[in-house]
Amino acid sequence: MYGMVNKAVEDMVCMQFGESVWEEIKSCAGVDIDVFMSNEAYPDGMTFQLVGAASEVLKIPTEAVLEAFGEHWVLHTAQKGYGGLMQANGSSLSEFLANLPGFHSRVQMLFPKLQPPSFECTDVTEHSLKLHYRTHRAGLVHFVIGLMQGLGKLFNTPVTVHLVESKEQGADHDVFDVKWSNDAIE
Amino acid sequence: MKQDNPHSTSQFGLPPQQFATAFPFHLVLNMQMEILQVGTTLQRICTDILPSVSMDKLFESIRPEGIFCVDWVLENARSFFLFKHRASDLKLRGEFVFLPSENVLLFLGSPWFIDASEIAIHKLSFADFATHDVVVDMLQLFQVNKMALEDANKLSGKLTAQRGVLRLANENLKKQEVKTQQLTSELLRSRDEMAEVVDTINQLKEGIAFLDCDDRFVFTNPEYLRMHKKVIDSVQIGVLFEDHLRALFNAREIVTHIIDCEEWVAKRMAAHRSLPSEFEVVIAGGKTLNIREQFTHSGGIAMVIRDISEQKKLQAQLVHSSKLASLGDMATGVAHELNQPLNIISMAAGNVERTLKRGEFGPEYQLEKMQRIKESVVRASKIIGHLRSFGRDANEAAQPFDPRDAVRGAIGMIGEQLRLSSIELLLALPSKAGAQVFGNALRFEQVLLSLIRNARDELIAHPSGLAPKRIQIVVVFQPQGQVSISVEDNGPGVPVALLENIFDPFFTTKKVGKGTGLGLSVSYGIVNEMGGKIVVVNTSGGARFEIILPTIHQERNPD
Repeated sequence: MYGMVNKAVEDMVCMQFGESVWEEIKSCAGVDIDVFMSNEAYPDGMTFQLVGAASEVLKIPTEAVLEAFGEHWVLHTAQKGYGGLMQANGSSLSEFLANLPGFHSRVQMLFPKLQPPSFECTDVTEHSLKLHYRTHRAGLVHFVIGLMQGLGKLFNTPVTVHLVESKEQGADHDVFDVKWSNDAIE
Repeated sequence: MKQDNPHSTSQFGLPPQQFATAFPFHLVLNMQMEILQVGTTLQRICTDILPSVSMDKLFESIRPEGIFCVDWVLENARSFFLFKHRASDLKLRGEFVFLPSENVLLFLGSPWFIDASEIAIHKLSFADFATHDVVVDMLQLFQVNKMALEDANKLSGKLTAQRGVLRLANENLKKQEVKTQQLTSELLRSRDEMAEVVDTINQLKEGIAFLDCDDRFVFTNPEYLRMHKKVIDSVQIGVLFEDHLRALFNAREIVTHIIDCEEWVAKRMAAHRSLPSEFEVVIAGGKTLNIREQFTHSGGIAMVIRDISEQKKLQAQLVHSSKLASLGDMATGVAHELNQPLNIISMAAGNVERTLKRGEFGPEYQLEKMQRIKESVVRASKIIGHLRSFGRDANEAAQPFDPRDAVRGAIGMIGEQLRLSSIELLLALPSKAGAQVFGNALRFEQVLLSLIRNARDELIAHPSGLAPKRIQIVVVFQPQGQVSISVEDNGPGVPVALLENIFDPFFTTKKVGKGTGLGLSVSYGIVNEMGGKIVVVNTSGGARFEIILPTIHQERNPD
């Protein structure tokens, strides 16, 4: 994965628990890197080690870490990294989700080594859609759930996400049922 | 400005609807540079762009510079144009295409941003851009570069901070190195000095041992080990001192009247805990050891053991020779003492002889004379007996005695000499018997004799005019279990400068050959051995030596 992902994990931990905890997590994960370069590709295993170590050090289940990470990615990392691009990708949750496939296509052009997931929206209605998530990586379902929840907060839209088809359960790919309302989050 | 190329392979154009989708920000102008058509997205965000409105009212040209007109456009046909919308900050970048058949100018371009955040400011999204438009990709590229720069800055910052830390650490390291070198050299010097000290200690004839704060052996010199070779295991490093004492007792290395090991250890430990202390012990083989104990700076205990057996022997010899000297010195007095009973015997015998010659038989008279002769013989025998015992070697064991008897004995020896030297003797002895002291009575008598003779010699050497020469001896039993025996004269006193070292060995104020008495240092040793002390003070009219002795009911140092 690109360094920006590991940076996001670092940013989330430092923001919520402090730098010393991050150093402890890195040590636990056996990662000896001071600064992750956003545009540099790092082994996927390193990211999973960091998430696993964060779960161990913070005593939080891995799924919860991934969901929190997904939210953080949308609300902080992506905002900081390509805030303009995020905003330019749509002004509402539905618009953003509709533009998501194109967004990743463009991102992939910029990062040649990127192996991004692909997103596809089907069954689009005014308040729901089916999000098809295809990736060669396993174990990131909860990260996607976190991303959706983060987008709900970003666009001030209450959102519910349910995994309706699971690759882990034998499906071709993961499918999420995403529902939202037009009532703003209080 | 593009011209129709007759050799172009392009044979197809875009229908109006697809053209509008492909160029959502296009403009179509007539030859008067008035708006004929505007792209739908551009019109949505710039609502003042309406048909027939003049271009120069809507935009200003940033590149190239100039005033909007067809000629200006044609002159800069190969350039790209950058306009700024007057009503907003929106910039349009693009090129002009002249369509001679239509006699219109097409401006094909799109908004120019250098930061993606500007898109949202102008109420646009990526979906508003044509897919072929590179502006979106450029914006993302800018963003990627921006992130890379931020990463580089962060890394640079971290490296700078780390370099600062390293520089500081390096400086500290250098300082530490200098300090370490200093400490090392000091340590080496201390080690050499320590080795020298240890070497010296190891060569001493005294046994030296150090105990730590927990009372365990941490150092013993060879002499100490030699002194304790029979209990060598009990003086190894780490052994508890108390266990060493038990080993000494159980190995019968200590001569003591105490039969219970723990009782003796408890007594010895009591002395060990009230430091500094100095005492003597007699060990197996009759040797006498002097033991000094005191605290060290680190809270441990230093012990020095000295074999004083030889010193004791010499002291005894000195006492004996001093006594022999005294006997010669006292011959006059003794002769006088003996003369009295001899005269009585002579006279009584003469009287009996006369009556017998006259034939006067008065048994009562003769019996009375015989009784006087008998009494005088007893008296003479006593004097001779005392002389005999005084001349013996005084190595007898210590035992309780009445200090007044020692005073009487000494006076009996020297009293006549004082009288012949016109020295008045004042004697104040308690009439009632008090507590006894513990020691060798003859040795103590010799101490008293020595003090009296010193006083006599001083009085003779320094006559004080008409004042009568006087020596006063006072014995006082003190209530706190002590007895004081003082010898005071009315001579010139001890010079102040000499008061401090008067008890040092070989100290004397007499001329060579005159000092036949017992040295004050030996007197000091005898009194000390009895658990007492001797001090000297100058009074208003002479010198006073005072001996303080514990009575035998008082606690004495353990063996």
